[in-house]
Amino acid sequence: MKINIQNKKKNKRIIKILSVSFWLFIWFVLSSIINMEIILPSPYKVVITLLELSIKKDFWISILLSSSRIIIGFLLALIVGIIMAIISCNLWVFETIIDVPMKLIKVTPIASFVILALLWVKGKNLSVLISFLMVMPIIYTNVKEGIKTTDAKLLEMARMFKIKKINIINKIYIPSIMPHLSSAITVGLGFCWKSGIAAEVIGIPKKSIGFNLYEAKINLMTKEVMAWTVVIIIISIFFEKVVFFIVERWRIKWINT
Amino acid sequence: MDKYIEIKNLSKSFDETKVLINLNLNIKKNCISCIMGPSGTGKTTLVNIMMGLIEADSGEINGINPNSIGVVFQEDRLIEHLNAVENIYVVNNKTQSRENIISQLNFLGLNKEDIEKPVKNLSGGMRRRVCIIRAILFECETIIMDEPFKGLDDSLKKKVINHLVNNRKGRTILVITHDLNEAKELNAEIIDFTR
Repeated sequence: MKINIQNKKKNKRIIKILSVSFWLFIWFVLSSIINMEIILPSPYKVVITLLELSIKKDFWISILLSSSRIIIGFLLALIVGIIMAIISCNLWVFETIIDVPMKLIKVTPIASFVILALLWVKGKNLSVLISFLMVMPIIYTNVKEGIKTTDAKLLEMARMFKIKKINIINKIYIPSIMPHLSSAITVGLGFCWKSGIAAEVIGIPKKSIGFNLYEAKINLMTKEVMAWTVVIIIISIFFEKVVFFIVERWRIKWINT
Repeated sequence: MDKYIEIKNLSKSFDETKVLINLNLNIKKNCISCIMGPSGTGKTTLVNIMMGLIEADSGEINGINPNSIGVVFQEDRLIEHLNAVENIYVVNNKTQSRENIISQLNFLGLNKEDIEKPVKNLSGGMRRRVCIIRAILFECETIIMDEPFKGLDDSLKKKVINHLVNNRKGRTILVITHDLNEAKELNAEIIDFTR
Protein backbone atom coordinates (compact mmCIF):
# COMPACT_ATOMS: atom_id res chain seq x y z
CA MET A 1 0.00 0.00 0.00
CA LYS A 2 2.79 2.37 1.05
CA ILE A 3 4.77 1.50 -2.09
CA ASN A 4 1.67 2.12 -4.18
CA ILE A 5 1.17 5.60 -2.73
CA GLN A 6 4.85 6.42 -3.21
CA ASN A 7 4.69 5.21 -6.84
CA LYS A 8 1.59 7.31 -7.44
CA LYS A 9 3.35 10.40 -6.05
CA LYS A 10 6.43 9.71 -8.17
CA ASN A 11 4.29 9.22 -11.30
CA LYS A 12 2.41 12.44 -10.59
CA ARG A 13 5.71 14.33 -10.32
CA ILE A 14 6.98 12.83 -13.59
CA ILE A 15 3.72 13.75 -15.37
CA LYS A 16 3.97 17.30 -14.00
CA ILE A 17 7.54 17.67 -15.29
CA LEU A 18 6.51 16.20 -18.66
CA SER A 19 3.55 18.58 -18.85
CA VAL A 20 5.76 21.63 -18.19
CA SER A 21 8.31 20.34 -20.72
CA PHE A 22 5.54 19.84 -23.28
CA TRP A 23 4.33 23.44 -23.00
CA LEU A 24 7.89 24.76 -23.08
CA PHE A 25 8.42 22.74 -26.23
CA ILE A 26 5.25 24.18 -27.79
CA TRP A 27 6.47 27.68 -26.88
CA PHE A 28 9.85 26.92 -28.41
CA VAL A 29 8.30 25.56 -31.63
CA LEU A 30 5.95 28.55 -31.97
CA SER A 31 8.76 31.05 -31.41
CA SER A 32 10.87 29.23 -34.03
CA ILE A 33 7.99 29.30 -36.55
CA ILE A 34 7.20 32.98 -35.92
CA ASN A 35 10.90 33.78 -35.71
CA MET A 36 10.33 37.34 -34.49
CA GLU A 37 11.62 38.12 -30.99
CA ILE A 38 9.41 41.14 -30.72
CA ILE A 39 6.27 38.97 -30.98
CA LEU A 40 7.32 35.76 -29.28
CA PRO A 41 10.87 35.27 -27.96
CA SER A 42 12.05 31.72 -27.32
CA PRO A 43 12.08 30.33 -23.75
CA TYR A 44 15.87 30.26 -23.91
CA LYS A 45 16.05 33.99 -24.70
CA VAL A 46 13.62 34.77 -21.88
CA VAL A 47 15.75 32.82 -19.40
CA ILE A 48 18.90 34.63 -20.56
CA THR A 49 17.11 37.99 -20.19
CA LEU A 50 15.97 36.98 -16.72
CA LEU A 51 19.55 36.11 -15.74
CA GLU A 52 20.79 39.42 -17.13
CA LEU A 53 18.15 41.30 -15.17
CA SER A 54 18.90 39.42 -11.98
CA ILE A 55 22.46 40.72 -11.76
CA LYS A 56 21.18 44.30 -11.59
CA LYS A 57 20.57 45.90 -8.20
CA ASP A 58 17.36 47.61 -9.41
CA PHE A 59 15.85 44.24 -10.26
CA TRP A 60 15.95 43.15 -6.62
CA ILE A 61 14.88 46.56 -5.32
CA SER A 62 11.84 46.46 -7.63
CA ILE A 63 10.91 43.00 -6.41
CA LEU A 64 11.36 44.02 -2.78
CA LEU A 65 9.32 47.22 -3.07
CA SER A 66 6.49 45.65 -5.09
CA SER A 67 6.32 42.63 -2.79
CA SER A 68 6.27 44.72 0.35
CA ARG A 69 3.49 46.99 -0.96
CA ILE A 70 1.35 44.06 -2.05
CA ILE A 71 1.95 42.17 1.20
CA ILE A 72 1.03 45.28 3.25
CA GLY A 73 -2.24 45.51 1.28
CA PHE A 74 -2.84 41.81 1.86
CA LEU A 75 -2.16 41.97 5.61
CA LEU A 76 -4.39 45.03 5.99
CA ALA A 77 -7.15 43.19 4.11
CA LEU A 78 -6.68 40.18 6.37
CA ILE A 79 -7.00 42.22 9.57
CA VAL A 80 -9.85 44.47 8.41
CA GLY A 81 -11.72 41.56 6.76
CA ILE A 82 -11.64 39.49 9.94
CA ILE A 83 -12.71 42.41 12.17
CA MET A 84 -15.56 43.36 9.82
CA ALA A 85 -16.76 39.74 9.62
CA ILE A 86 -16.86 39.51 13.42
CA ILE A 87 -18.80 42.77 13.70
CA SER A 88 -21.17 41.68 10.92
CA CYS A 89 -22.01 38.43 12.67
CA ASN A 90 -22.86 40.30 15.86
CA LEU A 91 -24.61 43.33 14.39
CA TRP A 92 -27.07 42.68 11.57
CA VAL A 93 -27.43 46.40 10.81
CA PHE A 94 -23.69 46.62 10.15
CA GLU A 95 -23.87 43.48 7.99
CA THR A 96 -26.71 44.91 5.91
CA ILE A 97 -24.87 48.20 5.43
CA ILE A 98 -21.52 46.62 4.60
CA ASP A 99 -22.84 43.87 2.29
CA VAL A 100 -23.67 46.36 -0.48
CA PRO A 101 -20.14 47.79 -0.93
CA MET A 102 -18.65 44.31 -0.53
CA LYS A 103 -20.77 42.98 -3.39
CA LEU A 104 -19.97 46.07 -5.46
CA ILE A 105 -16.22 45.66 -4.93
CA LYS A 106 -16.47 42.02 -6.02
CA VAL A 107 -18.14 42.79 -9.35
CA THR A 108 -16.24 46.00 -10.23
CA PRO A 109 -13.38 45.46 -12.73
CA ILE A 110 -9.88 46.03 -11.32
CA ALA A 111 -9.11 48.61 -14.04
CA SER A 112 -12.02 50.84 -12.93
CA PHE A 113 -10.78 50.73 -9.36
CA VAL A 114 -7.22 51.50 -10.34
CA ILE A 115 -8.18 54.52 -12.44
CA LEU A 116 -10.48 55.83 -9.70
CA ALA A 117 -7.94 55.16 -6.98
CA LEU A 118 -5.26 57.05 -8.92
CA LEU A 119 -7.31 60.18 -8.23
CA TRP A 120 -7.12 59.55 -4.50
CA VAL A 121 -3.68 58.08 -3.76
CA LYS A 122 -0.13 58.40 -5.05
CA GLY A 123 1.05 55.89 -7.67
CA LYS A 124 3.39 54.13 -5.28
CA ASN A 125 0.60 53.48 -2.76
CA LEU A 126 -1.86 52.39 -5.41
CA SER A 127 -0.93 48.72 -5.25
CA VAL A 128 -1.42 48.71 -1.45
CA LEU A 129 -4.94 50.07 -1.86
CA ILE A 130 -5.84 47.84 -4.79
CA SER A 131 -4.52 44.63 -3.17
CA PHE A 132 -6.43 45.61 -0.03
CA LEU A 133 -9.67 46.25 -1.92
CA MET A 134 -9.44 43.05 -3.93
CA VAL A 135 -8.62 40.74 -1.02
CA MET A 136 -10.69 42.22 1.81
CA PRO A 137 -14.12 41.09 0.48
CA ILE A 138 -12.77 37.54 0.03
CA ILE A 139 -11.50 37.39 3.62
CA TYR A 140 -14.67 39.08 4.92
CA THR A 141 -17.05 36.71 3.11
CA ASN A 142 -15.17 33.55 4.07
CA VAL A 143 -14.65 34.42 7.73
CA LYS A 144 -18.30 35.46 8.01
CA GLU A 145 -19.30 32.13 6.48
CA GLY A 146 -17.05 30.32 8.96
CA ILE A 147 -18.62 32.10 11.94
CA LYS A 148 -22.16 31.57 10.66
CA THR A 149 -21.66 27.88 9.98
CA THR A 150 -20.27 27.20 13.45
CA ASP A 151 -22.26 24.29 14.88
CA ALA A 152 -25.25 25.91 16.64
CA LYS A 153 -25.81 22.81 18.76
CA LEU A 154 -22.25 22.99 20.02
CA LEU A 155 -22.80 26.63 20.93
CA GLU A 156 -25.98 25.63 22.76
CA MET A 157 -23.97 23.03 24.68
CA ALA A 158 -21.39 25.70 25.55
CA ARG A 159 -24.16 27.94 26.87
CA MET A 160 -25.67 25.17 28.99
CA PHE A 161 -22.30 24.25 30.50
CA LYS A 162 -21.29 27.89 31.01
CA ILE A 163 -18.09 27.53 29.01
CA LYS A 164 -15.98 30.68 29.23
CA LYS A 165 -16.21 33.06 26.24
CA ILE A 166 -12.48 32.77 25.55
CA ASN A 167 -12.79 28.98 25.36
CA ILE A 168 -15.82 29.23 23.09
CA ILE A 169 -13.77 31.41 20.74
CA ASN A 170 -10.63 29.26 20.95
CA LYS A 171 -12.14 25.81 20.87
CA ILE A 172 -15.36 26.20 18.90
CA TYR A 173 -15.30 29.30 16.70
CA ILE A 174 -11.67 29.33 15.54
CA PRO A 175 -11.56 25.67 14.42
CA SER A 176 -14.77 26.33 12.49
CA ILE A 177 -13.38 29.48 10.84
CA MET A 178 -9.91 28.09 10.04
CA PRO A 179 -10.72 26.07 6.88
CA HIS A 180 -12.65 29.05 5.46
CA LEU A 181 -9.86 31.47 6.34
CA SER A 182 -7.22 29.14 4.94
CA SER A 183 -8.91 28.92 1.54
CA ALA A 184 -9.60 32.68 1.56
CA ILE A 185 -5.91 33.35 2.16
CA THR A 186 -4.83 31.05 -0.69
CA VAL A 187 -7.33 32.53 -3.17
CA GLY A 188 -6.75 36.08 -1.90
CA LEU A 189 -2.98 35.89 -2.19
CA GLY A 190 -3.08 34.96 -5.87
CA PHE A 191 -5.66 37.65 -6.47
CA CYS A 192 -3.71 40.33 -4.64
CA TRP A 193 -0.60 39.68 -6.77
CA LYS A 194 -2.51 39.95 -10.01
CA SER A 195 -4.36 43.10 -8.97
CA GLY A 196 -1.33 44.67 -7.27
CA ILE A 197 0.84 44.32 -10.37
CA ALA A 198 -2.02 45.54 -12.60
CA ALA A 199 -2.23 48.61 -10.35
CA GLU A 200 1.52 49.20 -10.69
CA VAL A 201 1.34 48.96 -14.49
CA ILE A 202 -1.27 51.72 -14.50
CA GLY A 203 0.14 53.75 -11.60
CA ILE A 204 3.76 53.19 -12.76
CA PRO A 205 5.54 53.92 -9.48
CA LYS A 206 9.35 54.03 -9.95
CA LYS A 207 11.31 50.92 -8.94
CA SER A 208 8.47 48.48 -9.10
CA ILE A 209 7.73 45.33 -11.08
CA GLY A 210 4.78 47.09 -12.74
CA PHE A 211 6.97 50.02 -13.81
CA ASN A 212 9.52 47.63 -15.34
CA LEU A 213 6.77 45.74 -17.15
CA TYR A 214 5.36 49.01 -18.48
CA GLU A 215 8.78 50.27 -19.57
CA ALA A 216 9.52 47.00 -21.34
CA LYS A 217 6.13 47.09 -23.07
CA ILE A 218 6.37 50.66 -24.42
CA ASN A 219 9.90 49.97 -25.66
CA LEU A 220 8.69 46.77 -27.32
CA MET A 221 11.12 44.67 -25.24
CA THR A 222 9.03 41.50 -25.32
CA LYS A 223 11.82 39.39 -23.78
CA GLU A 224 11.82 41.67 -20.73
CA VAL A 225 8.01 41.64 -20.50
CA MET A 226 8.07 37.85 -20.42
CA ALA A 227 11.00 37.72 -18.00
CA TRP A 228 9.18 40.03 -15.58
CA THR A 229 6.02 37.93 -15.98
CA VAL A 230 8.04 34.86 -15.02
CA VAL A 231 9.29 36.76 -11.96
CA ILE A 232 5.71 37.62 -10.95
CA ILE A 233 4.63 33.98 -11.33
CA ILE A 234 7.58 32.71 -9.27
CA ILE A 235 7.03 35.22 -6.45
CA SER A 236 3.29 34.58 -6.43
CA ILE A 237 3.78 30.80 -6.16
CA PHE A 238 6.50 31.30 -3.53
CA PHE A 239 4.27 33.47 -1.33
CA GLU A 240 1.30 31.16 -1.81
CA LYS A 241 3.34 28.15 -0.69
CA VAL A 242 4.94 29.99 2.25
CA VAL A 243 1.66 31.43 3.51
CA PHE A 244 -0.17 28.13 3.06
CA PHE A 245 2.60 26.38 5.01
CA ILE A 246 2.39 28.95 7.84
CA VAL A 247 -1.43 28.81 8.00
CA GLU A 248 -1.48 25.01 8.03
CA ARG A 249 1.19 24.85 10.75
CA TRP A 250 -0.73 27.40 12.80
CA ARG A 251 -4.01 25.52 12.31
CA ILE A 252 -2.50 22.19 13.40
CA LYS A 253 -0.76 23.83 16.36
CA TRP A 254 -4.00 25.52 17.39
CA ILE A 255 -5.97 22.28 17.26
CA ASN A 256 -3.29 20.37 19.16
CA THR A 257 -3.09 22.94 21.94
CA MET B 1 -37.64 24.75 49.27
CA ASP B 2 -39.85 23.24 46.56
CA LYS B 3 -40.14 19.50 46.59
CA TYR B 4 -41.20 19.36 42.97
CA ILE B 5 -40.45 20.82 39.62
CA GLU B 6 -43.93 21.98 38.70
CA ILE B 7 -45.06 22.06 35.11
CA LYS B 8 -48.34 23.89 34.65
CA ASN B 9 -50.50 24.01 31.51
CA LEU B 10 -47.48 23.78 29.24
CA SER B 11 -48.17 23.91 25.50
CA LYS B 12 -45.86 23.95 22.53
CA SER B 13 -46.52 23.68 18.80
CA PHE B 14 -44.16 23.53 15.85
CA ASP B 15 -45.98 25.04 12.87
CA GLU B 16 -49.27 23.14 12.80
CA THR B 17 -48.12 20.23 14.97
CA LYS B 18 -49.12 20.44 18.60
CA VAL B 19 -46.42 18.63 20.55
CA LEU B 20 -47.41 19.53 24.11
CA ILE B 21 -51.00 20.40 24.99
CA ASN B 22 -51.71 21.81 28.46
CA LEU B 23 -49.22 19.50 30.14
CA ASN B 24 -49.42 19.37 33.93
CA LEU B 25 -46.71 17.45 35.70
CA ASN B 26 -44.83 17.33 38.99
CA ILE B 27 -41.31 15.96 38.93
CA LYS B 28 -39.81 15.01 42.30
CA LYS B 29 -36.70 17.00 43.08
CA ASN B 30 -33.50 15.36 44.33
CA CYS B 31 -34.63 12.04 42.86
CA ILE B 32 -34.14 10.20 39.59
CA SER B 33 -37.11 10.32 37.22
CA CYS B 34 -37.48 8.70 33.84
CA ILE B 35 -39.69 10.15 31.13
CA MET B 36 -40.86 7.27 28.99
CA GLY B 37 -43.00 7.10 25.90
CA PRO B 38 -42.93 6.61 22.15
CA SER B 39 -41.24 9.03 19.76
CA GLY B 40 -43.07 12.23 18.95
CA THR B 41 -44.81 12.59 22.30
CA GLY B 42 -42.87 15.70 23.27
CA LYS B 43 -40.28 14.33 25.71
CA THR B 44 -37.33 16.14 24.16
CA THR B 45 -39.44 19.25 23.62
CA LEU B 46 -40.29 19.29 27.33
CA VAL B 47 -36.67 19.04 28.47
CA ASN B 48 -35.59 21.63 25.89
CA ILE B 49 -38.16 24.03 27.41
CA MET B 50 -36.92 23.15 30.91
CA MET B 51 -33.35 23.95 29.82
CA GLY B 52 -34.44 27.25 28.29
CA LEU B 53 -33.35 26.19 24.80
CA ILE B 54 -36.82 26.74 23.36
CA GLU B 55 -39.75 28.79 24.59
CA ALA B 56 -43.15 27.35 25.42
CA ASP B 57 -46.20 28.83 23.72
CA SER B 58 -47.98 28.99 27.08
CA GLY B 59 -47.78 27.64 30.60
CA GLU B 60 -45.02 27.74 33.18
CA ILE B 61 -42.34 25.70 34.87
CA ASN B 62 -41.43 26.37 38.49
CA GLY B 63 -38.79 24.94 40.78
CA ILE B 64 -35.92 24.55 38.31
CA ASN B 65 -32.93 26.79 37.87
CA PRO B 66 -32.18 26.83 34.13
CA ASN B 67 -28.73 28.23 34.91
CA SER B 68 -27.73 25.13 36.84
CA ILE B 69 -28.38 22.18 34.55
CA GLY B 70 -25.92 19.56 33.35
CA VAL B 71 -26.98 17.88 30.13
CA VAL B 72 -26.46 14.75 28.11
CA PHE B 73 -27.95 15.75 24.79
CA GLN B 74 -29.54 13.28 22.39
CA GLU B 75 -26.62 14.00 20.05
CA ASP B 76 -23.21 13.92 21.72
CA ARG B 77 -22.34 17.59 21.14
CA LEU B 78 -18.66 17.05 21.84
CA ILE B 79 -15.91 19.32 20.53
CA GLU B 80 -14.64 16.91 17.90
CA HIS B 81 -10.96 17.91 17.67
CA LEU B 82 -10.43 17.80 21.45
CA ASN B 83 -9.77 14.60 23.36
CA ALA B 84 -12.10 13.22 26.03
CA VAL B 85 -10.31 14.88 28.96
CA GLU B 86 -10.28 18.31 27.33
CA ASN B 87 -13.96 18.01 26.38
CA ILE B 88 -14.79 17.50 30.04
CA TYR B 89 -12.18 19.88 31.41
CA VAL B 90 -13.41 22.78 29.26
CA VAL B 91 -16.76 22.72 31.08
CA ASN B 92 -15.36 21.90 34.52
CA ASN B 93 -12.03 23.71 34.69
CA LYS B 94 -12.81 25.44 37.95
CA THR B 95 -14.00 22.40 39.85
CA GLN B 96 -12.23 19.34 38.46
CA SER B 97 -8.63 18.37 37.96
CA ARG B 98 -7.52 16.55 34.82
CA GLU B 99 -6.40 13.65 37.03
CA ASN B 100 -9.92 13.21 38.41
CA ILE B 101 -11.42 13.35 34.94
CA ILE B 102 -8.93 10.72 33.73
CA SER B 103 -9.72 8.43 36.65
CA GLN B 104 -13.47 8.70 35.93
CA LEU B 105 -12.90 7.93 32.26
CA ASN B 106 -10.68 4.98 33.18
CA PHE B 107 -13.35 3.71 35.53
CA LEU B 108 -15.88 3.63 32.68
CA GLY B 109 -13.48 1.69 30.48
CA LEU B 110 -11.65 4.30 28.42
CA ASN B 111 -7.95 3.47 28.43
CA LYS B 112 -4.98 5.82 28.06
CA GLU B 113 -4.94 5.45 24.29
CA ASP B 114 -8.67 6.27 23.96
CA ILE B 115 -8.31 9.28 26.22
CA GLU B 116 -5.55 10.81 24.13
CA LYS B 117 -7.45 10.55 20.83
CA PRO B 118 -9.63 13.37 19.53
CA VAL B 119 -13.21 12.33 20.35
CA LYS B 120 -14.05 12.19 16.63
CA ASN B 121 -12.00 8.98 16.56
CA LEU B 122 -13.88 7.30 19.42
CA SER B 123 -16.70 4.77 19.04
CA GLY B 124 -20.32 5.80 19.68
CA GLY B 125 -20.36 4.06 23.07
CA MET B 126 -17.14 5.75 24.20
CA ARG B 127 -18.41 9.17 23.13
CA ARG B 128 -21.60 8.56 25.10
CA ARG B 129 -19.60 7.77 28.24
CA VAL B 130 -17.61 10.99 27.79
CA CYS B 131 -20.91 12.91 27.58
CA ILE B 132 -22.21 11.24 30.74
CA ILE B 133 -19.05 12.00 32.76
CA ARG B 134 -19.14 15.58 31.48
CA ALA B 135 -22.66 15.98 32.90
CA ILE B 136 -21.93 14.14 36.17
CA LEU B 137 -18.85 16.25 36.94
CA PHE B 138 -20.57 19.53 36.10
CA GLU B 139 -21.56 21.36 39.28
CA CYS B 140 -25.31 21.81 38.97
CA GLU B 141 -28.64 21.24 40.70
CA THR B 142 -30.24 19.19 37.92
CA ILE B 143 -28.97 16.75 35.30
CA ILE B 144 -31.09 16.18 32.22
CA MET B 145 -30.22 13.19 30.06
CA ASP B 146 -31.82 12.49 26.69
CA GLU B 147 -31.36 8.80 25.85
CA PRO B 148 -27.97 8.75 27.54
CA PHE B 149 -27.30 5.01 27.36
CA LYS B 150 -27.85 4.41 23.65
CA GLY B 151 -24.97 2.58 22.06
CA LEU B 152 -23.87 0.92 25.30
CA ASP B 153 -24.03 -2.85 25.68
CA ASP B 154 -25.87 -4.31 28.69
CA SER B 155 -22.89 -4.86 31.02
CA LEU B 156 -21.45 -1.43 30.26
CA LYS B 157 -24.86 0.16 30.67
CA LYS B 158 -25.11 -1.37 34.15
CA LYS B 159 -21.70 -0.01 35.09
CA VAL B 160 -22.52 3.48 33.79
CA ILE B 161 -25.88 3.51 35.57
CA ASN B 162 -24.24 2.52 38.86
CA HIS B 163 -21.64 5.23 38.38
CA LEU B 164 -24.37 7.78 37.74
CA VAL B 165 -26.35 6.72 40.81
CA ASN B 166 -23.24 6.74 43.02
CA ASN B 167 -22.23 10.21 41.86
CA ARG B 168 -25.67 11.79 41.95
CA LYS B 169 -24.86 13.79 45.11
CA GLY B 170 -28.53 14.44 45.85
CA ARG B 171 -29.16 16.16 42.56
CA THR B 172 -32.35 15.88 40.52
CA ILE B 173 -31.82 13.62 37.54
CA LEU B 174 -34.26 13.48 34.68
CA VAL B 175 -33.69 10.77 32.08
CA ILE B 176 -35.51 10.30 28.80
CA THR B 177 -35.51 6.64 27.81
CA HIS B 178 -37.49 4.05 25.89
CA ASP B 179 -36.11 1.18 27.95
CA LEU B 180 -38.04 0.10 31.05
CA ASN B 181 -35.03 -1.88 32.28
CA GLU B 182 -32.96 1.31 32.39
CA ALA B 183 -35.63 2.95 34.55
CA LYS B 184 -35.62 -0.07 36.86
CA GLU B 185 -31.83 -0.08 37.10
CA LEU B 186 -31.90 3.60 37.96
CA ASN B 187 -34.60 2.94 40.52
CA ALA B 188 -36.35 5.89 38.97
CA GLU B 189 -39.81 7.30 39.22
CA ILE B 190 -41.50 6.77 35.85
CA ILE B 191 -43.28 9.55 34.06
CA ASP B 192 -45.32 8.00 31.26
CA PHE B 193 -45.74 10.09 28.13
CA THR B 194 -47.78 7.49 26.26
CA ARG B 195 -50.92 9.20 25.02
